[in-house]
Amino acid sequence: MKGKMILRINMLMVAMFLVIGLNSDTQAQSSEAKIGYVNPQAILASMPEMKAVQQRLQNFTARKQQELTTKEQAFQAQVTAYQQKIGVISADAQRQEEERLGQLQNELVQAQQIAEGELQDKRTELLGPLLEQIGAAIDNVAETMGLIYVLNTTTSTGDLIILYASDDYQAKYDITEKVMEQLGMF
Amino acid sequence: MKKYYLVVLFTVLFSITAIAQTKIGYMNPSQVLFELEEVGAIEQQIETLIETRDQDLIAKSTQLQEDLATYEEGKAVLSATARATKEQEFLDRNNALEEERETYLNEIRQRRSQMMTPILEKMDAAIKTVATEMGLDLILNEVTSYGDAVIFYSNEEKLNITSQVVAKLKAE
Repeated sequence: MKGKMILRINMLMVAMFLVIGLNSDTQAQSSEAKIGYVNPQAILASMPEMKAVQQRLQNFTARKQQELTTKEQAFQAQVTAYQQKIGVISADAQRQEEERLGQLQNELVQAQQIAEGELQDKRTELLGPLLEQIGAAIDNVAETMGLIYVLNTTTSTGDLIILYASDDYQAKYDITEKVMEQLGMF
Repeated sequence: MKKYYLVVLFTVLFSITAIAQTKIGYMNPSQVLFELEEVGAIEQQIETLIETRDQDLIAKSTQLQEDLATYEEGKAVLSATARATKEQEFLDRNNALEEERETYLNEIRQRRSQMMTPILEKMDAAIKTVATEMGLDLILNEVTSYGDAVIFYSNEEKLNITSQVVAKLKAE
């Protein structure tokens, strides 16, 4: 009788160990399975701050464009002036003038490249803080949901990274709206 | 005694159900499109369209080159003002040609996009069907259209559903 009792207690302990062991294993494995995804570009486009950011970027672009147009017009004026006097100046003067105009043209191309770089820097300066906010909100949502990874849905060139998500999976793990809620967008 | 076995059995069954992990497949959409005859036909049509428009443009460009050569030969007798006017005219004609090419290339891009839309919709439906049949939760893109790898390695070749999607589309 006592032997049977000990056997039962041992079996119960084995069962309990199995329960504890398998459950802890389950938690570890199911947590590995939690992969969320988010579309940060959609969030960015819906942020109320974006209107002002876009306006500032437009203004900046227009200003740079105006500067470039002014330089281009000045260059064209010098080319026209050269063309008008080309018949009355010496070959040596022509060569010097063409060199000078070539140099001016190179400077113009350089100015265009600099303007493009400045526009990129401006975009980074204005969008950086918003992207940081989105990043922090993604971290918060992911931590709350116990996600191990959060994937981006789309590349900056518009290629989809996630081609398909089942309806159930989308309902659980597309955290785009949750991130927007976290940002207080609705 | 049976009771304890039942406890163990239920625990094991419960755990097996619970550890069902996210099933992630992957595929290469560019490869799928490459293998479809209808896509090849669209690309052929687009290429022919570009060639036809380019030929028209080449004729205009050749004419411009000839006019420019004629001008170069006779410019010595022209006044500075006449030269400046003529050169501006050549510049304008050249700009117009560039603009014309840009415009029709845009039109052709839009046309291609319109022609591809039903095929892309069919591909999306095929992806969904294959994913559902295989019980997959997510399908990732293997490689971007610029050739950047999204997935470098998988030890489960059967989770690459590219060929299944192609087969589904070809069977339609």
